Amino acid sequence: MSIIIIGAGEVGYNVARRLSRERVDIVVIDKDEEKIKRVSETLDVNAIQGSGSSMTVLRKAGIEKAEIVVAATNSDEVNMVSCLVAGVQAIVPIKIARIRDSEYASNVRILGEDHLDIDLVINTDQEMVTSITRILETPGALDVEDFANERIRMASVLIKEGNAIIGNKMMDLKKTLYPDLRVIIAAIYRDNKLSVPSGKDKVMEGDLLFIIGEPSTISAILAPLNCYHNSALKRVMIFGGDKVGLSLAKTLEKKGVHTKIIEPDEERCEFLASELDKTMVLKGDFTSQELLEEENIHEMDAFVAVTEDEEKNILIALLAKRMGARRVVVSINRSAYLPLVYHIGVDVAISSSLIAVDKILQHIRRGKIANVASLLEDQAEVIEIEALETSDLVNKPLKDLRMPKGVLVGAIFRGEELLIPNGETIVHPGDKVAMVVESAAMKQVEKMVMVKPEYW
Amino acid sequence: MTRILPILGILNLFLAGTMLFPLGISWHYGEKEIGSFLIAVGITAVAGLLLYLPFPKERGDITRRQAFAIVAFGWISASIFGAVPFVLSGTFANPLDAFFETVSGFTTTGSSVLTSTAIDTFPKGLHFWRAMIQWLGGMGIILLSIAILPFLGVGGMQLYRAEVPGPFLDKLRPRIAETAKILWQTYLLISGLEVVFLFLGGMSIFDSICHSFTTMATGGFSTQGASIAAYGHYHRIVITFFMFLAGTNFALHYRFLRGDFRGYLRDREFRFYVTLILAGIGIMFVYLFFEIGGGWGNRLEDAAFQVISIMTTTGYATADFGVWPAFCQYLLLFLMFVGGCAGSTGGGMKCVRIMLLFKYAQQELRRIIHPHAVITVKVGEQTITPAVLNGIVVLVILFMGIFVLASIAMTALGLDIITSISAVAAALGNIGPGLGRVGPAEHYAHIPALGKGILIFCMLAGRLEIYTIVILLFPEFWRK
Repeated sequence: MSIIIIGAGEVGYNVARRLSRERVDIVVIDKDEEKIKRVSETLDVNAIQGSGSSMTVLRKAGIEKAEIVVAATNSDEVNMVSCLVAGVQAIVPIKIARIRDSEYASNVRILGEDHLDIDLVINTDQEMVTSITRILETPGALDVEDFANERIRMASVLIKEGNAIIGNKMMDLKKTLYPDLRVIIAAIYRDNKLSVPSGKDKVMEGDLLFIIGEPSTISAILAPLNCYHNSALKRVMIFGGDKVGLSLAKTLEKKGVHTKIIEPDEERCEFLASELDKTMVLKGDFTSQELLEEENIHEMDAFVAVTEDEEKNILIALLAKRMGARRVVVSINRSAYLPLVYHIGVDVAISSSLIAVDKILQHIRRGKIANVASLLEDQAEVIEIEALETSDLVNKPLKDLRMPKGVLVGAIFRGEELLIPNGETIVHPGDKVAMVVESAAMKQVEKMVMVKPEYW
Repeated sequence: MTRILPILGILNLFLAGTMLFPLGISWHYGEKEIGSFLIAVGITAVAGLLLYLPFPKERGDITRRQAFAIVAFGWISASIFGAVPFVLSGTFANPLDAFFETVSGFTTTGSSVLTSTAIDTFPKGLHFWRAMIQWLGGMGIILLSIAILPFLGVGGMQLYRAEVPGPFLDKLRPRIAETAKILWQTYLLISGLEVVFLFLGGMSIFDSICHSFTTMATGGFSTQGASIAAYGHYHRIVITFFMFLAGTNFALHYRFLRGDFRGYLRDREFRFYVTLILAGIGIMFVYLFFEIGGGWGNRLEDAAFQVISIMTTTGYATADFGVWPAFCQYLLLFLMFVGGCAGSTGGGMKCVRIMLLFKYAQQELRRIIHPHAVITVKVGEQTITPAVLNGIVVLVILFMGIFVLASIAMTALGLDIITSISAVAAALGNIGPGLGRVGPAEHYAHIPALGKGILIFCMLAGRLEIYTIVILLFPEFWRK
């Protein structure tokens, strides 16, 4: 398979990085010499310096043979023109474009078959809002993802110093803490390594646990797991009234949460006020401690910083945390900041570029694997597959399957029923299976779940 | 270290595997060296396992620094273990000579410590091993392992950069393992073609294979004491042609085989390479014809063979150019520095660098005339960035610096000036024979031990394009 990626920014780079480990031929195009240098020095891909909307450059990149074109620059216009030029030059089966302007993104006529013929439009703003809302509603979790049409939820929990469960074995944890809850601890992140735990592993301070279960049970287990006093989400303060902020405020006020939104620009404030009903719009900059004080920051269940400026988000979130906000959520763009922000006290960080990367990967892998979410950038992935009759997965107890190392079946959906599996569980054809897979084992798993050729 | 040693271990196991070929040859001819090879395979394999097994298998990328260390130590360890069969067979005066011969083999230099009579009576199995290490070293042992063993992933690219000569990274396919595979397949194919042509001309199959190995690697070891002078016109012409191919960028050969017939002509470096060769042959021919005389056909053949042999850094000889006029000798000495194209198996500084250096100088001169002009160095359509140009200038400075220091050191050991200069030039450019007492009719056995050590360093530095070896001597490289 050969893939052309236009734009070597956060999104393009990370898509290239993830796919390059899967033995596909990748060509990355970017105008910026520095970015191209970074790509060619760190990734096993072909890097070409030039404009992704130039015919010559695309031909040089082998557009005639490309199966997928991903336009992931920062500019909507460049992405659209690139897809157009690519489509004119050759018949590219799949075209993916990152388009942030919702006016374009929702226009079926421009993007549809008659004109640009783009197969997937990546607009991360809405995704961000959904993700943030989900996390806000799950106190204690660092990240929350839903699968199988939101019937399975996965949350990650950081075990902080002083937590009572430190030192317990995984299997005892199940007996004492949640005997009746149908959840499973699917993975542990410890010492910069992600692993699938066995029953004998002990919980240690600083562990990041990944838990899979039904959405309702997840919230129930989080309270005992990290000694979090579980209270309903009542008050939220949002910093930044751009698209994401506005949309988030709308969602929250619909859910009956008291919401305040801070925006520095006066005109934008007026616009926000006209768009929002119950939300209080405040004009203020990111250094305004007085404003935060006045508006009772210490009463807030959560403080969410979602401006375009990630450094600003991090700074004000830290300030809010110090002033008593219970939980701070920041939006960042650069994935390199992710490990950093958790260390300095940010509770949750969400990266729009990583969300975009996930969406693109989901689409590229479509068919074999239904849903993809990455854990900790890309050390492991959560995938959801349908167990085909002909795959290696079915009609054997799980313990007898020769699973590659670093793979865990987290949940099985049979019709309406959710099963949390153990070694004896047998996967039936037609079941939906959620698995946690370490990235090194990804290739083997793909092989395993695919249809065996003799049946064709 | 835990990242480097297991990879070196794998390379060693790999080397042990390649030793099975000469082992088979020895067995076929019923030579007593079969014992030496058996022991050598054992030692190499055990050393490989000892390096590989104790360490946990770490995944993930290797850093650039680690890549340099792997390539440099990989070559050194291959040369040490590759010398084991020679040492065990007792055909060399001492282990240092055997090591010198092996380094000369892997780096495709072709300088030999063996006298021509020794070569004529050399066992076949060892002859085969001598040719085979040149062939392995020609396209690169690391590159071969990237192609065959998919254990390196992204790290493969860092290794590729550290081993493959040339100022740019010319990737034929997006993935490095694929690129490596393609290059080796092309190499194998052309080598096979040469075997067929040589065999059809009446050379024995054994000699055909050995000579193909050493031609395509631009190595220059021969199974004959008299080198290619032992063969007739047909073989000389075939070998001349294949030396020329070996000095060309293999990416161009690959594109040609894929149907891009005009690729050669489009490539500026190739044009420069051909121009230089034709000019060299022309001047040499005219001078030889009027100075020595004796039939224009013979002189043209001499000129063509010797110019191509030296410029591609092969180092075969059909005539003793040590007795040619001084002008011709000096011309050959100059060509030693030029070398083949980037991406070829040839050594030297590479045509593209010389070409760019000229253009760079031209650019600076034009800048003096037009102080306000914005001038860039271009090759064909492509603009060469200042970073690349700086890299080339620094490499040439290091190349010349090592050349000067090493040749001064050689004279300090009591060798004459011509011998010292040409021996170092021939080692650094991976050519083989030099002038004076290391000329084509001579050998390297009489060089003092320390001198051999210097030449070994020069050969490795030349093959790995200076940086990879010299960086090991840099204290900062070892600092945490």
